[in-house]
Amino acid sequence: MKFKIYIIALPALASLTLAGCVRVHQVDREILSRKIMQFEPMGNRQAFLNDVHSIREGASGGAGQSAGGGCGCN
Amino acid sequence: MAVIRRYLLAFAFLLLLERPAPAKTDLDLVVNSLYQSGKGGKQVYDGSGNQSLTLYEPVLYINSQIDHNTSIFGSVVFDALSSASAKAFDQGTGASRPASDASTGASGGESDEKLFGGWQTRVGAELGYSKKAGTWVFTPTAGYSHELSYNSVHGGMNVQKFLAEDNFVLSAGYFHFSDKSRPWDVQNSKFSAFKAKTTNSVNAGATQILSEKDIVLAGVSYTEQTGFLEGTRNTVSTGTVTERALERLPGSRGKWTANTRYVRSLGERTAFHLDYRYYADNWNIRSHTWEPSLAFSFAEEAGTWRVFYRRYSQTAAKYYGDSFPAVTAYMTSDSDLSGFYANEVGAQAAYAPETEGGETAWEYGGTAMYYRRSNDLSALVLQASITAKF
Repeated sequence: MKFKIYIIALPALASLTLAGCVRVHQVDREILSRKIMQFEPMGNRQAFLNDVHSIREGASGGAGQSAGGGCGCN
Repeated sequence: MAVIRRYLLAFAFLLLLERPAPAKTDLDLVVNSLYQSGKGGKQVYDGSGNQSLTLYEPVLYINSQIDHNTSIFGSVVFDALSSASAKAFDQGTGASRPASDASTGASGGESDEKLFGGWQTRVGAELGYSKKAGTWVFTPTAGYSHELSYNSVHGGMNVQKFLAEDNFVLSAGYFHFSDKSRPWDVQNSKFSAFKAKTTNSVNAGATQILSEKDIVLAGVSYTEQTGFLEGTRNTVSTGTVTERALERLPGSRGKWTANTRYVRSLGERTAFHLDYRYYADNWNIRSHTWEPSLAFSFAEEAGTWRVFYRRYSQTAAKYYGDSFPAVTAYMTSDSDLSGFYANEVGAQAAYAPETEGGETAWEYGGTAMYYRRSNDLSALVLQASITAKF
């Protein structure tokens, strides 16, 4: 299981590290600063969608999702 | 004493004079609603499989930028939930009726339950503080949640390090949940005592600007849970439909995730997003989640809308079975732990009309999302939000 995780995680982290050579200066970040370029462009509304997934799917936890909390319903 | 008091008052007054006025505060009210239906829930107490559920949840978020380096944020949530399985459960056992309601003959009953005509409620609050110190940002958070049979007290800390003129950001976090769960005792028709459930989670990630038009994020996490990990009302069939027992699950679970997110500009008004997440745990669940989406701006960036598709698949937990002819050490029929796939589509929009300088700015938003699982469960989520920025 851990091995499979590393298959995905290590190349991703390695590519980030290699990409560390890239430098985009502040004045060149007009496009990146736009709302549509944000990872969560709709802000707080994403939290509930994440909760729905974590309640209804077996694979909750980690990656910015709630690791605990509960819904006692069936 | 009076001198000291005067001195402290003067000092506090000076602090107030020195302290810059809040630069910006956002108050965001989001009203969430969830309408779920489906009859594939083999864990449901009455054997109907009915997983219909309706939930309304208003959440008030606050985010205040105190100065250039400091902000506080938090939320207060109240939700009301009504589920078919809980109603069937309630009719059969009286689990959620007050203890004083002796006329029903129900043997259950808890005097402290918050129920309004069959609606179960939850309250919760979160608070966080973010402080930038040089190229570091520290964000401690804490929260509390209380519902019918589940309480949670939790807290954590996230740290970010900005490198290479903020082109590269490393982050790491630790979160602890000290929860309590109160399962229903089927044999004795009453709630059991609260049982502890502890969650510890660590995560690490990195964000890298790839060019003037794209950015990528990658992260990993590990979560360990111990204690009572069963659902509060999940049962399994141990013979006929009427012979049911509570599910039994191990007292520990380890979860690994790896995820990546990529955003690329496709022109002045369009951006492409692609998220992927892999999950594995020691109950033998493996899952893949893909979510491509497109985000658009309109009205000179006063408005934003987004369409998304999400594909999710998971394998079954090794303890899962539709039924159990004989009682085993571990057994669950929880449909959330079975093997299934799910498709989801949705759209979101937000619009902030232009305002004159100094006026409160308002933003209005909405979401519609439809979710369908291969094991007979579907859900519609609707959201409405209004944000005041002052």
